[in-house]
Amino acid sequence: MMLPKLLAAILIASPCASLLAGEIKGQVTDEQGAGLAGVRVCLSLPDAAPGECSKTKFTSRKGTYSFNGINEGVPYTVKVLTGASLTARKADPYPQYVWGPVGHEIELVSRKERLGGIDFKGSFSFSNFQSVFQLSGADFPELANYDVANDYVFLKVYTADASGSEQNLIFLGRVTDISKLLIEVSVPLSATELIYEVYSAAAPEPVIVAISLVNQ
Amino acid sequence: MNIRNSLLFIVTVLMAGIASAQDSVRLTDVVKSSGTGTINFFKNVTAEQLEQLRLDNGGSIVLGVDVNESANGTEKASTQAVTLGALTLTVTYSDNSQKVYDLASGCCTTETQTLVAEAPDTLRLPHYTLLGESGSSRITANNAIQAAFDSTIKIAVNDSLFDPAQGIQATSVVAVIKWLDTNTSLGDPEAFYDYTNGFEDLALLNAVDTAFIDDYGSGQDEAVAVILTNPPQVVDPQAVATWNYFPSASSYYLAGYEDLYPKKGDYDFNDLTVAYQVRYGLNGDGDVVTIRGTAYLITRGAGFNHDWHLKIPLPVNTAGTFSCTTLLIPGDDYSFQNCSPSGSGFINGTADIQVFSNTADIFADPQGAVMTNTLKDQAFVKGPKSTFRVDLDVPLPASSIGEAPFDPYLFVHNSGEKIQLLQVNPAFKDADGYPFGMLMPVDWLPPLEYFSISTIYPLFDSFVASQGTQELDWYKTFLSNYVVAAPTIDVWMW
Repeated sequence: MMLPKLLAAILIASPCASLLAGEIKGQVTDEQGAGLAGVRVCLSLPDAAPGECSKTKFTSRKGTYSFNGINEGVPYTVKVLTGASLTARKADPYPQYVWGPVGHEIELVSRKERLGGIDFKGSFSFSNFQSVFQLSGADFPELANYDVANDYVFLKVYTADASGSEQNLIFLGRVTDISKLLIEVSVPLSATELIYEVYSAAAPEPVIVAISLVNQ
Repeated sequence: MNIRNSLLFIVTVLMAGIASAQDSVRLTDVVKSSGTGTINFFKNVTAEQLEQLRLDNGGSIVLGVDVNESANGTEKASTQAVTLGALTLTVTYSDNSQKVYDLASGCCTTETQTLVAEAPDTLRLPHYTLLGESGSSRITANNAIQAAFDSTIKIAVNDSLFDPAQGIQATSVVAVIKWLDTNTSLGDPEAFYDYTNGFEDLALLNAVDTAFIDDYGSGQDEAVAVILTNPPQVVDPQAVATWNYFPSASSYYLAGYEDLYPKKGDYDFNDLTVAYQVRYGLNGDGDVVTIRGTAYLITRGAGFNHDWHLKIPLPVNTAGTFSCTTLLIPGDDYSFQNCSPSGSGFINGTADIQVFSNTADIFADPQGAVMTNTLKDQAFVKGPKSTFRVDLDVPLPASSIGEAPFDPYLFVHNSGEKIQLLQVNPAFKDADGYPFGMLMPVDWLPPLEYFSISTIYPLFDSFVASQGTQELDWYKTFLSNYVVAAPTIDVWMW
């Protein structure tokens, strides 16, 4: 029964951790005090989501581990990740993680007008060259002029390069229920404009709308 | 004859009847790369055989089409398309009379349609389409026709072509087919439904092969803006109706890593460079039923060995199946391996896909150098390509899935370290704020080996020092003799 041993190791590991200048060291042991090798140890920040690790290490043959580059005075948490030994990882490389996105909140503020409509604001992590946001049916008011339940109504969303000659298609599909429409968009920060087209069998000339993307 | 023998006799007779049905016939004539074809059926079948096929298909001559397109718009190996622009079938009889069946008069149908504009117009009108795929193997196919042909054209021919008792004898049956010249300047859907590359092979199908090809629906799953000619009575909640692309159908995220974490190392940021693209397949209600993606290795400037993962956050207890294949050599569909040790299987919770395994093995320099695509004067080689898919057991709202660009991370075998993008996990930076994983602009060029990104891109330090608030265009100013030679999307994509 490996799991009870590892669970016990969690309790043992934290008291063993010693805070030195910029370094955390410790040892993972079983109930008998023997070191456990190849066990993955997770270092978490205080505000980390459950299961989110800032760093991970596999223990040595003697069960020891160390984390350097540590900021003094921060109450880190050290945990053993059950079922995540090197051997286990190879056998089961798809452990569960809990998602903790950071640093790129985008808020759609308002639609000002038909052209140049959507502003969004938010902060971007500095490695992120993408703006991420969602668009719903309300962001495409022209759809209200179409009989989406009975006609074949299509929506196309894309960005264009500076010359307008090349399109980057984000969404192209039939709309059957405006209330359920939700499109996720991830466009380069350099993109200043999002374009959408609406067309249908009954109204074959597409309505083309350009909306400005304004980083604030 | 006892009862058992009687049954055997009946079965034998039935099987003989099946075996004697007219087989489908591959035709000599094709639709040429010019988008037109004149198809003389009697090069390959007699009037009697053609009549058998017509009767077998309930009064229709059915053409199988092997769609053979080059990538344009959202076209790819798994989905390609042409649009039926014109079709006439002319039957000449022994008494010199003729009957003409014409698409414009409603003679002909296919299984799919779309709204598309014919060049040079912008009006998008309904047209029949033909969808297909290339480079795949259909393990359920029962013969070469079923394995090769993608879509069907059904031509309703009401009159007999061969009936000696009535003195009916067709002496010539010729079809003229023309694909629609779509207005590709509009992008998709016109670019997707255009004709390029060609030619399209054709076959005359019997009813069994017609049913198989129609049921298989080659290329339908990933095609855009599809209208089904014969929609199902009950909508399948797992069927893909539309696609949502990240970052877009024609562009990729580019992630770069330094693999010596927590040591800064040479900081050339080329230890592993990966391009990836993800798309959600949405059902009719707009919920996600499948997540698919493609990734390429661009550079491997490392002595270390890695796995590259893409973690897509899903709600707890999400269930589904996944598969992932790494194609190792461009153009060689048989040189592949599973991405991960298990390759495919059941997924529970977040999808953490090991998209590339053992980068040192699968992306070695063909000339034997330790590093690949990062050394000066080193010939650029196209890296491995992985395709993956996660099919969800239950449709999920897109808002419940972690947002793009997701969590692409590097696992370094030699150190046991997992290195995430700074934007995903801010812990992955050094004391001065320098990241170990970054999402780069797709037109960024990795520095040559051993040259720090700070040296080759002089504005990079200011960009980092400002935490990304200044010098946003740092990647546009660089020492051109010290970057990897032109690894642009048209070079590394295949």
